[in-house]
Amino acid sequence: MGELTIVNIQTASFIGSISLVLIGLVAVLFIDNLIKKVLGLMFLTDGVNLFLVALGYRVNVPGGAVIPIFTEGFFKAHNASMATAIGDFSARAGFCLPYALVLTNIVIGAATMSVVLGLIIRLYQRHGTLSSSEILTERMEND
Amino acid sequence: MTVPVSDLPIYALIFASVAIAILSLLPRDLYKAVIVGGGIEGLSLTVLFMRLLAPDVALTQAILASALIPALIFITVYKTSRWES
Amino acid sequence: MISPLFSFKDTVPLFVVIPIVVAVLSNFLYKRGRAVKVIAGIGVICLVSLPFLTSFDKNYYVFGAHPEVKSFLERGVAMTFNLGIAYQYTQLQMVILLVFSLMAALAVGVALTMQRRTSGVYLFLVLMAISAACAVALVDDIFNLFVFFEICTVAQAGIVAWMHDDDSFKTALKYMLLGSVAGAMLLLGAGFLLGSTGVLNISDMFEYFTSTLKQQDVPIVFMGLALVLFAWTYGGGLPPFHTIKSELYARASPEAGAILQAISKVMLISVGIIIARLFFWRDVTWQSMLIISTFAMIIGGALAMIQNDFRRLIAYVAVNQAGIVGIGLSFFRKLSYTPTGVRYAWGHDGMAFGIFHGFNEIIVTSALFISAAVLYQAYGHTRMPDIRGLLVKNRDFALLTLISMLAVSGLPPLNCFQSEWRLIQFAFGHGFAAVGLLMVVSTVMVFFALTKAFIMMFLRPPEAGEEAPALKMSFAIALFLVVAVGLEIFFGLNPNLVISPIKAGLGVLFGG
Repeated sequence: MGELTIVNIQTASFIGSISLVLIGLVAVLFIDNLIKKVLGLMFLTDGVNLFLVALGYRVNVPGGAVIPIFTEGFFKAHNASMATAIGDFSARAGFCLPYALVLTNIVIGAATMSVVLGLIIRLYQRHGTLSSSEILTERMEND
Repeated sequence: MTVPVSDLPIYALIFASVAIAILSLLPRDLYKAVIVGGGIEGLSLTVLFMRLLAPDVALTQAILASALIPALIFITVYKTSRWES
Repeated sequence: MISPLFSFKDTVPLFVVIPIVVAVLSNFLYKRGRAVKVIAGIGVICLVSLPFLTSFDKNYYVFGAHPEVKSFLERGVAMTFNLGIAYQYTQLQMVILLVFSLMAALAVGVALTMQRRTSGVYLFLVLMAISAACAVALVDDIFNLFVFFEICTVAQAGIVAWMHDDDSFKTALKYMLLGSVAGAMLLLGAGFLLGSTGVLNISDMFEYFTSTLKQQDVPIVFMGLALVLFAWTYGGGLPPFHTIKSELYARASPEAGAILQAISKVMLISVGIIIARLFFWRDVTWQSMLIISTFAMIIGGALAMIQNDFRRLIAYVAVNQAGIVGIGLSFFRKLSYTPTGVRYAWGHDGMAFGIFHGFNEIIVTSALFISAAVLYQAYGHTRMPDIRGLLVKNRDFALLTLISMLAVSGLPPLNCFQSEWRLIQFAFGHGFAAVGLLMVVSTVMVFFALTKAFIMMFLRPPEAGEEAPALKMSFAIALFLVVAVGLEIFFGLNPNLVISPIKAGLGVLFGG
């Protein structure tokens, strides 16, 4: 099989992540149903996470990019010379700082989502509807 | 920029995850919206994270963002109303 | 700039750790009211005493420099960037954290005595919000800023939802939805900045932007500015988020409203300084900050004039004052740089006056919210048409409230006069005459609103046939009001006690 000329996977992931962010924003702001707003929040978080993970990808590395885990294979491939093994690893491995940010962000997303869902259940019990235009508008006599 | 053809499914997956996100906001049955938008979307992102050299992030994404959070939203839909009025 | 590992002199993280520990303990012991009161009391006293105990001999605290990495670097790799999570504690942070912890401690004292049953869970939410705000003031790492921003959002939504009525649940849900969007945007902006500079510490980004001048005009960095500005307007309660923030202040319990608006001011000042440090080399930064803050000032003042609910009125006054603080924060001079790397020509005065105004506002608006707490305790609501005739039997309360109201309006010799006068003079003297005029107009609007409130509630005679009400002020509330009024008068007479540490701190933060 031959090769095709496309944008590389990092650029495609950037484009996909920004699209997800935009879809999530539109969903949170403009869709009426509260559960779909929560889904939009999920897409927003997913888009930002995908952007950050794609930031850590290495493109155009001789020998291919590797997962940033220093395995036995590296050590043996360089005839047990630590300096060249570390040098080769650091040139080829993905940049792992954004991965730490993403791990924290996923857990933060889970926590905030559970608070939002609890509030939605409470509001449904009082109003009987999940439509945000009915629940979240201010009525004049309450103000 | 030339890439091997074996990477083609990944580009299709990136495009598909955006399409799945749009498609999950359309149905009026909220069960379908949650399962497609939460579970399937989360799984496609897990595969994508694996390909982008981050297996630890893929693990966390698989557990939390594609199993736990859709389950929580599913419970919320179950306790409130299934159909978008 | 790699410092040694943790030693007993480094008490900076205690600002964040002490409230979290007290919060977790009071949540754990939530059924025993007395234990919660004792623990919370000890915790807030420790927090208030911390700014006096922490030294700023280095001004820059790095934690987590792993000994392996440190030894690796000592083999001769030249490093200008820091390898740990960094906090920066200058005299500016000392001043802001001192006033914030004092007001928060007094408000926690009011919360402890105001409810019949002390609730450990409520104190948990309040103390987590306080710790997150302290962390936002100290942080030098843009990802930690995002984490504490999210913690603040959830804690504030919980504080509002504590009131258990329908309106407060609605406000909490709206605030959580918008807050999650703002947090995601902040993280996206942090990702853009990480991608374009390669570091996460703000001081390192500052060094990067001032040393490699060619790479500054990339659209990615501009987008990063836009996203961090978005999060700044959300955290500080500026338009377009002034409605949700004023709802938040108005619908929470009033002493919690005092803490909430203090948190907003601290976040406004801290994130504003971060934006100025990162993006001072673009004109659009100070222009956009100035426009947003001017809108906040005018809209807040205009909406305050038509309110009928006292808490809502004070909430809009808080938005108005946040606008004035934002105007002050945007008064930094654009840098004049050459490609050889000459850094900048700064004037810290405008920013220092803005931060001084924020300092004053934390004191004064908290005092007004506590006055609203007295009314809420007596009546169960704060609707001004239904409250009348309070002057007859509540002379002390009326006097303390009147002094705070006059302070917000900018009457000499109280503290807000000093800061507003300096800001208006700076505006007129540096070419922002329209902004100066609008500040004078907004002062008049706020004065009108508060005078209307005072006349409606205190000076109208009681209904015919009813006797004048006598309000009960608990010791904690009386202490709060007396301390606040004392601070207003003291800092009105000695403004340079605050302005010089702020200028020194700004010199350290922007001097590199």
